[in-house]
Amino acid sequence: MRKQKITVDESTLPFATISELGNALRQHQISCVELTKFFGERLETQGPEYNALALSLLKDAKKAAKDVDWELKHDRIRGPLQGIPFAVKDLLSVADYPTTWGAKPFANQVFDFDATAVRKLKGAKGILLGKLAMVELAGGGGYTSASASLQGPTRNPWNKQYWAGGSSSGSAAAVGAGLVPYALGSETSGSIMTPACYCGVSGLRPTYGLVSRYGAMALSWTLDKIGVLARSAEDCGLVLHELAGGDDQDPGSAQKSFYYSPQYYGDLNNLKIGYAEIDFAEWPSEPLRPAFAQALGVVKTLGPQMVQTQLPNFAYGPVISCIIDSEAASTFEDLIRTGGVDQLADQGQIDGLKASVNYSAVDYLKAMRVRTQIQAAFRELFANVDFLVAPTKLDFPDKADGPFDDTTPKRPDVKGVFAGLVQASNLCGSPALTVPCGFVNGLPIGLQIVGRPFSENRILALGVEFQKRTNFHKQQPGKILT
Amino acid sequence: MSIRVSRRRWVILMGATAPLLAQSTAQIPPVSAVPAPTPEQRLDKAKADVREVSDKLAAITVPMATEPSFKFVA
Repeated sequence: MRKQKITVDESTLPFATISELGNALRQHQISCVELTKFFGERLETQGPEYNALALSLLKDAKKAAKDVDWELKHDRIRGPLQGIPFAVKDLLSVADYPTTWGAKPFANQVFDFDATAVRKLKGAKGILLGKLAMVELAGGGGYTSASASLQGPTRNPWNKQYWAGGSSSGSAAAVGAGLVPYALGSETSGSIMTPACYCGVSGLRPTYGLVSRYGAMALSWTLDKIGVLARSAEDCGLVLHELAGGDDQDPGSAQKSFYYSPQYYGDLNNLKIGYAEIDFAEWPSEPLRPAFAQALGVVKTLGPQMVQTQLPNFAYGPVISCIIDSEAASTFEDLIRTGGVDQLADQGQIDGLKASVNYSAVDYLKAMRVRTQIQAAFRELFANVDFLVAPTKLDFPDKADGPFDDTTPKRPDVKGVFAGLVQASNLCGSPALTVPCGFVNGLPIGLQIVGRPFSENRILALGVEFQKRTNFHKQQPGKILT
Repeated sequence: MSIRVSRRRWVILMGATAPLLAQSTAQIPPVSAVPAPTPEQRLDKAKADVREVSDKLAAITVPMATEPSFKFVA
């Protein structure tokens, strides 16, 4: 075979968007095999530096890339993900390869089928490069350090002393470091938003039921979602377009499709953003406040009317803890009762999972009844606003080594939108997007946009507008432009 | 032989030696005052956390007609 010459700029390639890479492929500036080798070798060599790589699938990827090159040569253009390399959290099954769920007791687990999400992206002719590290069992039971993973602590691409966040740790670190253009992650309560924020990438948690979870590890059946970590809000939309859709093999499937059509939400002027000044001015730790104030300033220029809002007052923490822990105790009942749980890396998780079998049916049902009330309150809230906007995280990430800092920072007594938003929006199945909105001490911070169920196009449109006015999503580790 | 020291004198003497005492203790390698919890204690703590969540849920009043969100549709 004649060796082709790469004509695109290799220095910008790791941080190119899906559209940019797709254009380069379709214009034959680079072949799919070359692109696959480029990202695959980066993932294999640099992935372990961040403890981000669970398994390289480069050999299979090269074969798939040859097929795509044949298609492109014959002008068989399928869609924006054709020929674009990606990787997935090691919670999704890939046929005949280990799917470890980041946990030693499952280190040798092999399924004979692809998860629906993987199958769909392969069907769109995406190139699966590998599987990415995650917090063991997606954090079930509650973990106490970044070491709660089969690969060890996932390191932050912006500063390796810091943690990448979890539980979709490897997905965020790999995208943040430019090792893959996009990756799949999952969220039960914060597992996409947190690492995406810490690693300076865009993260989309879709509405519950929009993306099939067939072939994904279950932590909490009524809360688990599969989502996207990518270089921009637009890239998240392009991936969700292929990923979403009904699936009879997922009992939680909403049987709905998603068509990425941001053009219909181009005029944001008729929409309303619910927010609270205090979330940006007083809730974040002090060094982060000026950057959040600037980000809020940009949001105010996007068009929608800004409406001071407060989240309804509920015990979100206990409700979501009880639901996740009870469902996880049932999912992992065998692991807990047989003692296999003792093989986990994190002692806090071992104890947490063992203790979680002590929830009663009355506890669980009470939590689910309060959840009904929370959902009703959120429907009412979203009758008045179209989005909720708040900081994604209030502090820098924890350090990668050693136990997490468990001291509770002092926060204001008055609550706005932020406090409880991650738990509340997950309990309601609402979609959320996090976008990088600044840098402090060389570490990225993020802005979260939450919408009513199935309003992905709307929150993506707001994210795209924000990213048209800022360049935080274009920054590269080690090369922050001021 | 016993030396009688007045209460006021005692306070002055202790005040003068406090920095020296602090210095000498600072040179001793730190020893954790709290011994590491046993596996039973750790598990008991985790169970206590579960009980705390249960108690918080029990304290919430929900109208009798409110059904759990079993059929969960976002």
